[in-house]
Amino acid sequence: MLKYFKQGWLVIAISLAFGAILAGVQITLGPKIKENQITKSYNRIPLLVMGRENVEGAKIVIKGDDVTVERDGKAQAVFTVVKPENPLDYDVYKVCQDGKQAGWVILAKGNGYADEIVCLIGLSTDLKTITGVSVISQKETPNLGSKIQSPWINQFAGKAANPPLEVVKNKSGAPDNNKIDAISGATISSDSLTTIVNQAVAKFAADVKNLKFATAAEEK
Amino acid sequence: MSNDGPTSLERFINGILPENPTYRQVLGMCPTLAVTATMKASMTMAVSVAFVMICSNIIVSLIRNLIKPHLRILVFTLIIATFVTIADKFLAAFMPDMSDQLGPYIPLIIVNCIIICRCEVCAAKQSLAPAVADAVGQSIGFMLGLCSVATVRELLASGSWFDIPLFWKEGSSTEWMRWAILGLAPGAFFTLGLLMGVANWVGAKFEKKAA
Amino acid sequence: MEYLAQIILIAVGAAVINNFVLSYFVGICPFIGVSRRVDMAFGMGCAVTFVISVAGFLSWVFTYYLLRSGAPLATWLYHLCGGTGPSDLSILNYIVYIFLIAASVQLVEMYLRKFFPPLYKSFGVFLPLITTNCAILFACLEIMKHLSGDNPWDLGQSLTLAFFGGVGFTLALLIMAGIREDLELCDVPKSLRGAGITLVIAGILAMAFMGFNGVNASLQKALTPAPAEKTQLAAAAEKTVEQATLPQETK
Repeated sequence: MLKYFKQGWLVIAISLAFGAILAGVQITLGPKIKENQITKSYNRIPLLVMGRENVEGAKIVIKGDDVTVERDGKAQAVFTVVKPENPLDYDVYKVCQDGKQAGWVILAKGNGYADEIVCLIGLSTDLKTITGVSVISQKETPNLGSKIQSPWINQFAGKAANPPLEVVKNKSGAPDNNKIDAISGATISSDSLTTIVNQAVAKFAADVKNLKFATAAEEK
Repeated sequence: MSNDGPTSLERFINGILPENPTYRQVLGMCPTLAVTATMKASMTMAVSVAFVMICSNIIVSLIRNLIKPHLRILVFTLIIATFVTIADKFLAAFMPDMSDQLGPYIPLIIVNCIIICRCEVCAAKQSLAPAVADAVGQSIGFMLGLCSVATVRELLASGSWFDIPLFWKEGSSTEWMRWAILGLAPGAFFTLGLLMGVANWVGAKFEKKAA
Repeated sequence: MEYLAQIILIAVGAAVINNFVLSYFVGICPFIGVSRRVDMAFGMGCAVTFVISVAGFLSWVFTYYLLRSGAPLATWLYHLCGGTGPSDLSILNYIVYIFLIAASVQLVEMYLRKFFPPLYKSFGVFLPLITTNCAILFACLEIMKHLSGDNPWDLGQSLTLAFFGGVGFTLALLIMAGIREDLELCDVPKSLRGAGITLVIAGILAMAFMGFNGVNASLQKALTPAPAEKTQLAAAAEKTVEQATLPQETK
């Protein structure tokens, strides 16, 4: 036993020392990393609820559960994000402004052409209109499928949630309210994203009745 | 006992071109192919590898007389893994977009052959100064390797360098179909293979001149 | 049924669609170094598959029960020592994985030395070198990624990913070895000999494998019943249940 200890004392000593260093790193950097995760979603909430044009060029400040849209140092709109008390297996945010609900934002994941696509979908309070879609992560073909993260996605804003959206190919400008223009050369990516949006919206319409929210936040 | 072998200056200069990890030793291929689609990602990876290599070389060189020979790989791996964890958490906290883009390739620095090779060949046998010089030299060499591949790939695939559009701006009169294949998997292999051929050819020419 | 569909998707994805070597760029060093002859390549591929499965199994067990945030065993121990809330040992992830991989390689080495001595001799120095094979650590990292967040993967899915990742690695290695055996008879320019031409060929192989992109989307559609059909079946099932219970209610 002592022989093994003589051989391995250095490994044990190094393990303990480095374990302590790593614990220190976890304590100092852990909270910042968690904050970054939340900021990724919260950053997009104003543009999903207010529309991209209203948020263009403004600064977004996040403090806890409050998201403020600032222009020239003055707060233009303050949103409060409320999470459900019985969370589902996907993130749901109830976005309130001045004590009243301004809309919903849900996280949707699904398979794209190459890998998984993760996006946030903004819905109106009555769940009848899609107020915006924002892609958080995608690994589609660069310069083709990756265009789903370009201004192409603005055409989702304002479309009705029912009937489900359809992807069309000709560049006719898509006047119908449930047609989405495909990206030329990236039909499957456009199709996948639209399917993800349709499925998420339908699932949320069914799940929303079971959600419970703390009523105190609404009366703020 | 501790200073036989190349001096610090020799170690430093060797690492940059004569014993370049990418083109001469053919080590560390995985990150060279994976992150060189953009210059920003390559520089982040190069700086992370430099951090891990320098720190682990320092620690290994300081305790080189205490390590039992049959346990040395274990000790090296433990030290490298700790520094890689620190680098990974640091990136996740302060550069979250870059951390997402680089994904699993930062933890893969642990099994990057360059670092273990350097610990084995240099840091375990020489004192602090040559070990640090070796680490810095090899890091600069690795950075050169990464940046050479990344420059070719990013320029030809998206017409930009460090995300600054150089030519082929969308809508300009010189717009031309960008070689998107170079941004994808096959392009990485092609670029690295052809650049390796170029490096070998240049190296052979220098040797002929010296002979 | 849905579970089987998921397993098939993961298996095909890891082996072919997102091949470890040709689309994730892991395991390149043995890919260039060992792929000169088909028999050596096959042996290396089998060894890597074996090690990757053992390492995948061990890393799932450790991550699920000890390392991830909210892990059952670690939280229980933490509460035993008087802590509150979930435990989170994920900072030790990489160190634990690399030790598990080293342990798996030792295990495989001992097993081969006892039961297949000639194979063990023919491997020589390559067997301990598998420890630094990026593919194995990459498989562990993928399992870690899927164990965090919602819908954590269970043991079957993780083992499938690990095993078929190894199968994909073997596949790429075999194809490359076959091509290189023929390449010995060709006139390759001096500066491209060795690593250069191997990488260029690997690029062409990667292009070929890129053709599998999008197969997983269609596979998923083929393997899961369409929602409309589902509701029809469900409605029909509900009707039969209603008709079965109605007579008893009117009694």
